[in-house]
Amino acid sequence: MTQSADAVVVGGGFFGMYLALLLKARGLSPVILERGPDFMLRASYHNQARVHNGYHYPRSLMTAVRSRVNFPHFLQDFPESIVEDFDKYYAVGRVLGKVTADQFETFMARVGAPLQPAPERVSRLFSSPLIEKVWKVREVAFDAGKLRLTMRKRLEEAGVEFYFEADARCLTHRADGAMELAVETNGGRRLYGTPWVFNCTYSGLNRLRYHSGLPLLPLKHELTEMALVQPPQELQNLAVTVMCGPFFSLMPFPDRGLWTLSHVRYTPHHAWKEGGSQSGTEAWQDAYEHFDRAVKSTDGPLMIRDAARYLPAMSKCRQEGSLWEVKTVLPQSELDDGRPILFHRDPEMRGLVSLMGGKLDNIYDIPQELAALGLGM
Amino acid sequence: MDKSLVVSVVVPLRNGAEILPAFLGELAGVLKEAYYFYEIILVDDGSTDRTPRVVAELLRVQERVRFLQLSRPYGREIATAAGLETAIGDFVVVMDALTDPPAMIPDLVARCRLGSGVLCGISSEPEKSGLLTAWATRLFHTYCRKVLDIDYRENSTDFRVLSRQAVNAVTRIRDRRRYLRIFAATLGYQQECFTYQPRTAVNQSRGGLQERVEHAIEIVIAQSRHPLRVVSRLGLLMSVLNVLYAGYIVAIYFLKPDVARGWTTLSMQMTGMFFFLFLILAVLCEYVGRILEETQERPLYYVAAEQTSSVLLETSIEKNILNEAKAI
Ligand SMILES: Cc1cc2nc3c(=O)[nH]c(=O)nc-3n(C[C@H](O)[C@H](O)[C@H](O)COP(=O)(O)OP(=O)(O)OC[C@H]3O[C@@H](n4cnc5c(N)ncnc54)[C@H](O)[C@@H]3O)c2cc1C
Repeated sequence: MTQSADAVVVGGGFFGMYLALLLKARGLSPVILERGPDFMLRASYHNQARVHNGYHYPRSLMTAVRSRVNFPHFLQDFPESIVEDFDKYYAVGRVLGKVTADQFETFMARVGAPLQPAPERVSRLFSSPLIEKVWKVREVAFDAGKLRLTMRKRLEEAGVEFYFEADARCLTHRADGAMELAVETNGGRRLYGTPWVFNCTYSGLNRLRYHSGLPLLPLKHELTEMALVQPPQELQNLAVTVMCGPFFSLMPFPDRGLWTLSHVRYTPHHAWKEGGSQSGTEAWQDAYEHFDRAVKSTDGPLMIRDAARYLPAMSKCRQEGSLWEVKTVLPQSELDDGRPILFHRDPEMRGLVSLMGGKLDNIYDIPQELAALGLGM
Repeated sequence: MDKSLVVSVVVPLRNGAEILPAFLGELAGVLKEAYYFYEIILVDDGSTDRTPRVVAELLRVQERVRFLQLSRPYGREIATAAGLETAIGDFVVVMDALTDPPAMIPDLVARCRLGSGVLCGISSEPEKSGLLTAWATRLFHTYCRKVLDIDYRENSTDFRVLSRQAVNAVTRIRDRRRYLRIFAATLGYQQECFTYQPRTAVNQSRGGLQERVEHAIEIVIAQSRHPLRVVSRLGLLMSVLNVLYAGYIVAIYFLKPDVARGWTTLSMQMTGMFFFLFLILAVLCEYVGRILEETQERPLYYVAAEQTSSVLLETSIEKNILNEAKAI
């Protein structure tokens, strides 16, 4: 039998959860369907846990400025998930880099991001022939485990309905103009009749579209690995990002009590693209299935080797495992529009909206887009 | 052999489209067999043939290859330096795609690891060259060894293995003219050599006598202030001789009755001028030498090893085990 809902949010990642709260606040009664056993077990958990504050994008003014604007909001909205017990440093490399120290300083001054020269005790840790300059900055991390709890509590308090192990498979038009969403659950099959479907499935965005016979959105997927490491004593409570080229980033990963080491060269193991062609019949592969089947042999030792060239103490860091995830990004053309999130209303199925953000704080761009749909406050 | 060593292989290239596919296949085969992690860094020094396209193809089939393309032809030394600067390995091998056999790499790395920081190749095939060239080359190498104190061996090639430490030291040198063969020898790390037979008898484009003389001059000037010192001493000597000569002129003036008119003043003026000229030159030479040293901005010394106390060993072992147990 068919259930009806005001709106169905497919995907219980951070974006889906946040969107459901917004919809609820606007008087709708959304239902969240998540195929995993809990909220936020995919990209919203497996990431660098960085709350962006502009420093990471010294070549994209728009993104940097938006990050700066969102930063205080995020801190205010999720205080219990914010981790600040470390000092954050950014450094600019001399060789192979795409920005110089001067450019970095000028840029940050323009977007108003505070920079302070690193104290001698810290800058001494870096290898001077390879690193031009080091700054202390204001950037924080979030604890994905705590964020999950907070968000879940808010959903429960708001009375939002949600189901786990519910896999949204296929969407069809109904005669009355609404849509019908077929969902596979561990108990069998369920159907939802609804005027709005919000597809917040990140690397699964095209999966639902493909099964529904809709043209694919142009997306690029990467199989990514971040090494989980225990940094040596002298680097404890210190997070480092070397800009802007084939460099690395060391960030706390509070939920595991460890640190993630990611590297522009070694974190993406391979990439594949989908969508974007005229015909709409491009080869498609299930990103989640691909992820499950892919061989995951760690490149952690390479990340550590390279990081140690810039920050010699890194050679003493111990790898304790890896975080693997599919990272999905919009191809460059989309990014150049300066739109930090993908908010795509299907031209055919007008009630289907695909929503994806490249970083967590992009949630603050959603309200404006909702308003454009007539779902504003 | 330790498979968990990370080894980087730097291959500077110019116009290698023909040989690359086979070479890369062979090299990757050797490395894959010997190590869990390795990287191959191809540095293209301004190829004018199909090299970039060929490499682009190869990147799709060969794992762990990196391709650096320099913006213009800079010469082999700078290309090698660029490769070294980005290599991440515990050991870095520099080799020539045409002449050096990849199969030797695992043994060489093992040897470099046991011994010193630098292991350099010597070609077993003495170069074929004219008598004069051979003699001049020998003289130059002797000069390097005896006077400049540089262990620059004859028939040495660019095939070499450097430890991480040596690579770090070399990358601190930012001279515009680079001679890896020499740098590696002057860093103060022990240098060992191995002899091997290059695949093709290509002398590493060291050219004819004239080219070599230029090359030798550049090496000496880049590496040492010795010629400047020699010249400044000479200047000093000449000014002293001039002073003596002035004494001689005065003596002649008083002792000899038939001195030509004007000879004394003319001679005095000349010796005076030369005295000052050589003195000034000598002083200038010394200053130029100092400026040269400063502008090269070389580190004053390299630390070959550092040891720290190892107290609290027991506690750290205990901690290790604890962490192992909760490893994910
Ligand atoms: C390696 C890496 C590092 C990153 N670093 C940062 C960082 O430092 N800071 C930052 O802000 N951002 C970072 N990001 C980006 C950030 O993780 C993502 O932008 C964000 O998590 C996207 O959230 P989401 O809810 O859209 O996706 P997800 O969290 O992946 O949520 C999608 C959910 O949809 C579910 N789903 C999929 N298909 C279906 C279906 N058919 N039916 C039902 N459920 C379905 C999935 O199970 C999943 O739970 C990083 C990403 C990666 C991969």
